[in-house]
Amino acid sequence: MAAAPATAGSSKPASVPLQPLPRPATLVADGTRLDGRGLEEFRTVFLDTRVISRAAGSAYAEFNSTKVMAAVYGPRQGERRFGFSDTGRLNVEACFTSFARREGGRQAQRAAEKELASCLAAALEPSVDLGKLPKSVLDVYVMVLEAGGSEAAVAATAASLALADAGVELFDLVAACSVSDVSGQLLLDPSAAEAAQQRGGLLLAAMPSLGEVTQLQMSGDWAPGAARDALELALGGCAQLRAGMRDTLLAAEAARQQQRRRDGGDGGGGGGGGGAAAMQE
Amino acid sequence: MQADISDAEKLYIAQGVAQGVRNDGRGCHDARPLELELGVVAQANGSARLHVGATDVMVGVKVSLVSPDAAEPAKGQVFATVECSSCASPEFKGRGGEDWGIDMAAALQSALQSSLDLGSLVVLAGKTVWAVHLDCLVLNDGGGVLGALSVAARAALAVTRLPKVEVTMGEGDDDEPEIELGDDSEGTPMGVTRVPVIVSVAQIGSRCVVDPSAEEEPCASAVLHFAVGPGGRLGAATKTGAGGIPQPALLEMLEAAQQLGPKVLRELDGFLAASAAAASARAA
Amino acid sequence: MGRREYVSDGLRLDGRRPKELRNMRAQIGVLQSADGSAMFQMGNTQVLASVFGPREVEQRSQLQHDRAIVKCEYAMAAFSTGERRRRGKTDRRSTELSLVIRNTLEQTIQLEEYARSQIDVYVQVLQADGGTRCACINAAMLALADAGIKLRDVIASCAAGYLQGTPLLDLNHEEDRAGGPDISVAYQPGLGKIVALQMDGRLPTEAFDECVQLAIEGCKAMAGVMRKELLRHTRALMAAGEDAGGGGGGGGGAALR
Repeated sequence: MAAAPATAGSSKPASVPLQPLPRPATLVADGTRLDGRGLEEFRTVFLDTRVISRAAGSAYAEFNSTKVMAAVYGPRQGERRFGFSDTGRLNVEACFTSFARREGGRQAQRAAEKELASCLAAALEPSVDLGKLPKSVLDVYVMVLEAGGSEAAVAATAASLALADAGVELFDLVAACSVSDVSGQLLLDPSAAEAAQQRGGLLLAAMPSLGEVTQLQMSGDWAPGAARDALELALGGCAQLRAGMRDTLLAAEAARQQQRRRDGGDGGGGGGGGGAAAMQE
Repeated sequence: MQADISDAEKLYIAQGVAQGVRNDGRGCHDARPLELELGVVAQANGSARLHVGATDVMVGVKVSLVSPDAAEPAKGQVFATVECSSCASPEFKGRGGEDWGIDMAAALQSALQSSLDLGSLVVLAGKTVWAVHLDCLVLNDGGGVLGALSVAARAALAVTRLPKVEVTMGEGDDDEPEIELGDDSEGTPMGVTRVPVIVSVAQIGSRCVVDPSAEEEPCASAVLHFAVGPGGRLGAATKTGAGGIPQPALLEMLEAAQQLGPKVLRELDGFLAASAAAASARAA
Repeated sequence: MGRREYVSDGLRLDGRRPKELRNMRAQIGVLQSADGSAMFQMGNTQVLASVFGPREVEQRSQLQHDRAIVKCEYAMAAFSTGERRRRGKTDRRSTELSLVIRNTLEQTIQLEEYARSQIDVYVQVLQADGGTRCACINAAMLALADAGIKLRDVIASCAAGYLQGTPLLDLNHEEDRAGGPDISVAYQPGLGKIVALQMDGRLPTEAFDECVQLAIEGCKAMAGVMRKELLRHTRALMAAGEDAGGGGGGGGGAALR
């Protein structure tokens, strides 16, 4: 406990205002980040599907302190006011829990939700075979439980996983990751503390097996060469993430099949089978 | 916002682009010529009107003295708004085009906030700063509106002069300092050298074209908008359109934007320098 | 604050005589995508108008079997006034002005020629320095003519005021703010009819007649300018022949190349 600085001549103890903890001066030392990761390493990734039983498909993604839940409902009939359309529509809604972020008021939160939703819609739309869903709407709901950095990327990954879980026809899974340029060093999957000190930030969503990029958002200031390197780093990250997503889906399906077989043999019983696969990098 | 063209026309344009021919005779990496007018709004501190092909935009800059944001007392403020005039299209009547305007305003505002020297907009630290309001009006949508707005914004900011202010400190510590506005004719220019222009690159079929026209925009599967500063430095980038972009094409688009951006900036700066020289020659 | 002298030695604040109009400029065909468009400028007041249609009626419930319906929307740019102010397109002032412009234009459009259709008129104020109402009507009128819509006559609009016992033509913002009576008149010079007249403030009866007469004289002068521009534009179209697009004259623009 630090003693409150007493002002000379006054007996009243000065109050100590609560200050946010000072930010560490250097985020990277000897190629290691504050949380012990290498520069091009993801945080601890945990993916799970079928976490909401009511939804057609759902997924949960956790990248250390960034936690996102996604659910897909539908396809359902499109609203009359949108008129006839020979392709389906993706309706994406995103929200932050009231405790997801430290800063920002209600207004800022609402703006951030709107922005996140439109970013996700653009990221997911190219992956869904909307031509097979005329006159219909797919609802994708995303909830950011805790925002610990790279929320948009984690949310896109979770939403794509939920779409796959719902059995929607996809061209490929969408994996997304962020890259931050912090004092000239490119950091994959930045945490909130790292992103706060970035000179430039980048979000990339891709369909790695098709080799197509579905969303790109850059901000800040990028030197001409650094942008290219960051893009390549992010593309590599997406490919890595996709492998993890695929494993999660396969493991979940395998667990379900096993359960079904057991249920068929024993004739009932047995709770929900956890089909989670953790991915450690 | 999107030109109403038939599938046959789309196919025609797409096949043309596949062979490297565009419907207005440009090459794939050529931007349309800019036609710029400066000082079109007498009541604004700086203004510009830009025609790029059929696209027609107007930008007015107004500055005012405000008290700074409590979180950032040593920074001036920049705000951008984009209004789509219903004169451009019946689509924009009422609240139509509002969402599009908000998206474009956000892109412009973030480009300006990261490139203008906000510290230089401080008049009295912690008390008074300049707020720069950039109001944009879309008068006709002929494609590449965001890019046109960014060029017009840079031009309008370049001719903006911050009025001279005189700060008289009060006698006692508690007295509020007095701030007096000087004559409008004299004033200090704002540093705009780092303000980027936004270059749109559209992917049509397997090729990419820069600065898409209104007819080309609906043919594109995806459009990337890069904010490119001097020397090809990249600022913000956003994507519109429902298609995916193949990885090699992405890098090609990035390169195209990095090549075109500085070219547009050079052209614009040359014109601004020439018109400034002409203005001072007239004054002399 | 002392009383301001609005007229001294027979000259007004901006150096005009009491019965003098500001510099006027009209330009037709300024926007590419509109069916008809025009710009009208009086001094620092600058207004853009565009016309779309006649086209299919948007809301079927509003369809009229024997005539066209006219829709009008008025908008002001955020930078158009001295103080920066962002206004919506649906605030009360805008709604009122939209209605005034629509009612005025309906008097001159041969609506029965375009049964079951809709004509959209959009007016955008780029700079406001008094007399926006009149400039809007003039600009919209030219845009209608450019769109090739059948009209009974040209409508020209002009305002007159009364300050310090002197009738003043075409008030600017400063004079408008003085709070004196202000009459805006829309007039058909060919038919010799007043199609709209609005007044606020109080005015002695004799002075009223004098002010209306003055405003009508102003309207006639405006109509002259508009007619000249219409002729110029039509001649340009004829000279250009078949392939005259919406090119118009992009005067004042300096090309970068």
